[in-house]
Amino acid sequence: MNVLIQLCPALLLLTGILIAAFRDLRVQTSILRLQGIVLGLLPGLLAIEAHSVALAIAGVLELGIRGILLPGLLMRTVKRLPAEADPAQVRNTASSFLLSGLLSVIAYLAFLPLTRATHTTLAQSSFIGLALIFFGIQVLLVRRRAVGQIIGFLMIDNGIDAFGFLATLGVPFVLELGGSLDLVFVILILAILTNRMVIKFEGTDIDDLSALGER
Amino acid sequence: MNSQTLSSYRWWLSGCSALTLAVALGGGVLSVAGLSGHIFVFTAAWLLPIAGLHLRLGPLSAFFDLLTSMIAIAVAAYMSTYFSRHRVPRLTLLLMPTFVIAMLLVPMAATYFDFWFFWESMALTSALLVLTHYRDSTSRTAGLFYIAYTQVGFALILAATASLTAHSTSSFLDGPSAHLLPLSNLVFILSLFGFASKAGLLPLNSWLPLAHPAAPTPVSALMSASMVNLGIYGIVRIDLITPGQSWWGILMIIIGLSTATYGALHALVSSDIKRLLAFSTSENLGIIVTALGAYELLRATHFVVLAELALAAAILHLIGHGLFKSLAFITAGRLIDDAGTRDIDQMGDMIHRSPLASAGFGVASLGATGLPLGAGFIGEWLLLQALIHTPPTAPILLRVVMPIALALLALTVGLKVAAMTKSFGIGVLSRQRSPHRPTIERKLVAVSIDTTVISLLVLANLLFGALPNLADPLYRRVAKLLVPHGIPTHIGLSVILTPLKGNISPIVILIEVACFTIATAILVEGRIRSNGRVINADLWNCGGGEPRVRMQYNSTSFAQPLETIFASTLRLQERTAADHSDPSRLIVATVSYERSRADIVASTLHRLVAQSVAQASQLMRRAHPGNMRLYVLYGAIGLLIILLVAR
Repeated sequence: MNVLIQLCPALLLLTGILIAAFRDLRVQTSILRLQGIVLGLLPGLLAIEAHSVALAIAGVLELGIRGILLPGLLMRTVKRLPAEADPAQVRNTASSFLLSGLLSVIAYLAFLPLTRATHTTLAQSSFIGLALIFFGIQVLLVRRRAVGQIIGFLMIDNGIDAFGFLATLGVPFVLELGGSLDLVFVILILAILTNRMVIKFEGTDIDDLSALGER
Repeated sequence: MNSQTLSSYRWWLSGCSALTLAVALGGGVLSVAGLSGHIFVFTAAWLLPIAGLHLRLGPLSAFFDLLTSMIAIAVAAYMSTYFSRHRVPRLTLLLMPTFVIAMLLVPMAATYFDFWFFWESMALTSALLVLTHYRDSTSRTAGLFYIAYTQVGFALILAATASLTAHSTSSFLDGPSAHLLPLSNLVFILSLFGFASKAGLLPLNSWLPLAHPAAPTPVSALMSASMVNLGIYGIVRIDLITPGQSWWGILMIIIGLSTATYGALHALVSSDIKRLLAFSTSENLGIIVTALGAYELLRATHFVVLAELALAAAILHLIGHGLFKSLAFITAGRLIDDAGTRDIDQMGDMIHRSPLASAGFGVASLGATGLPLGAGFIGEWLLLQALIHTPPTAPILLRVVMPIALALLALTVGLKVAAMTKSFGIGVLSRQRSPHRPTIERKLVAVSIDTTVISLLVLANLLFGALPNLADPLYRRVAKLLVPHGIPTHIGLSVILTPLKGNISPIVILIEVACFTIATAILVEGRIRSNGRVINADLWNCGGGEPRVRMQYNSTSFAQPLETIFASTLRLQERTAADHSDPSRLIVATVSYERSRADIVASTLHRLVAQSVAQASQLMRRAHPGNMRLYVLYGAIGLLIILLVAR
């Protein structure tokens, strides 16, 4: 059981790096779904070990929203989009890996004081939350299509959530619920925006959005 | 306007005047009690949010409150007649007592928070009062200028006092002093410039000549005679209570004298009477700050007797300026009403058209020149003595600064004598220029109120000019606070500077002048009588006939020689253009002549600010190309910086 729990952060890190590296939206969404499932499993496994009902509910909620609902919504949007190549700045997979590695190191260094102060392996791996946030920003910066941006944004939120579980073994339930519901709304709005962009520009390159207009 | 709204306006007006009068009287009574030794403390923690209301009326606060309330009493009476001739929105009427209350509460504020609150209330009410005629575009411009300057000043004051409170254990104004901290120099600079914007000192004085002509006359009188004093209060309260450094004094002297010279020069070339008075205010406040600067410098170099002399100069000039400036504005308001214009060049023969106001304006002008018998004399004489008596044993710094200051002060006095002679001579004593306007019908009540106010103010001016010893107890209280161990200069019937050489007695001068005038009159009269008869004959004027009205001096021609000397400072621009009625024939139909003088400090300051804002916005625009991913990058960099700093 312990091994399984400790496997979760590693899986989160791995999926984060993969999402940042791949360019195909469907593949990215699938990996994001995997990440969401892992994020849901983590509190679930903790709940089994600690016999905690609250953690179990949190786990089910996480699994439902991050593992099934959001990637599902995203996949629907992706399937509707016309095929277009992502005009990304960083096309080389190797350089993408390198960048991710660098960001992980920065996250680790930034969390060094926290890591030194704690003793459990799980809390010591809380820097992975920050690393996920960094990967999310990396996706936001490198990808130019709207759905890629949504994926980046979701990864940032996954990172915040992961940090919450890893560092504190579960944030209060109300907080969790509020954050997740917010996220659902944001994704709905972004999905609608993406569809509008396709209608307007026949593509989802966000560099077409260069000025605020008023009408 | 129907009669019902007119009568309700009248009720409203008398109510607001009575309220202003009551507030001013209350303030006066409180401050007299405060000066006689009582210290009033009032605390109501629930009344103001965050910090609570804490008021404290010590001697210094009482002195400034007394000045404010004396002027406010006169203005409260005058506003009832002024606003019945000039209808204004009712909000303006209601703002008058509010403005007076705010001005009275600023010196009473015991904590920094209260000080900020009342200072800002005063600034806002006065800004609204300046904007009374908001439909007029020049009024709006003036109001905006005033708001901008006063807010810049407030920001500086806030920065200065906030750094004081941050280092002190209590938030009370008389808590542990500023000058112990390493930041004291910064606090001094910030607060000096902040309060300078309210006192009308360079480089933040260009709101004065705009706001005063735009505001109704009672408002100008209040702003010019009492609100500017609170800038001085701030400087004394924050910077001068405890000894500072000698360069503080030098900086204050530089600012004060440059303001004084600049103000006098601009007063000389202004032909708008209210603008002229506004520049005169700026100039007199410059002299007061010079005196305070001399006090600070002499105290820092341990010349205690001279320092006290300079302090006496500042305090007496504050009183004198309040007296003659309120009289000047009130009588100028009457002159403007009777002449129908603010332009001195269009006035003329006012001495016959409104004799009382003209006489009052004469007395006020005499005060503003700083000549003997005027209310402004004693303060300037004392400052002159403080500057002139620098001993030869003094440090070289003093021996360099003081003579230069003396020369500039003399130049200022010369310029302002010319300016006030111009305003009185050209505006009041000259022959009539414009066709006679029917005098405004005034009700008996209004006439008697005006007469009473002007006569009382004239009396106060003459009394203070002749017997400055009446203000001695007032001065003694304040001096005791600022120089606890010294012996304040004795202001008696005759002012004798005991350890130094020098004494003067205004009453003796008055008697001498009176005797001389009467003797001359008797002599002339006797000579005429002994000749037997007086022959009325035409002037010998080369056969030119009677001089016409347009041949007399006007304000521009009067100031022209001095204006030419200072042309570069005034940035004088003259333009003459001839308009040909028919291009084919070389006959000139009309000649137009324009001259303009730039407010050189204001234009330089505004250009600098505009340029730096434009450059900053260029920079900002370069950082905002509209690419969303760039904004994400900014956010990421920010996050990284926070993480690294927070480690």
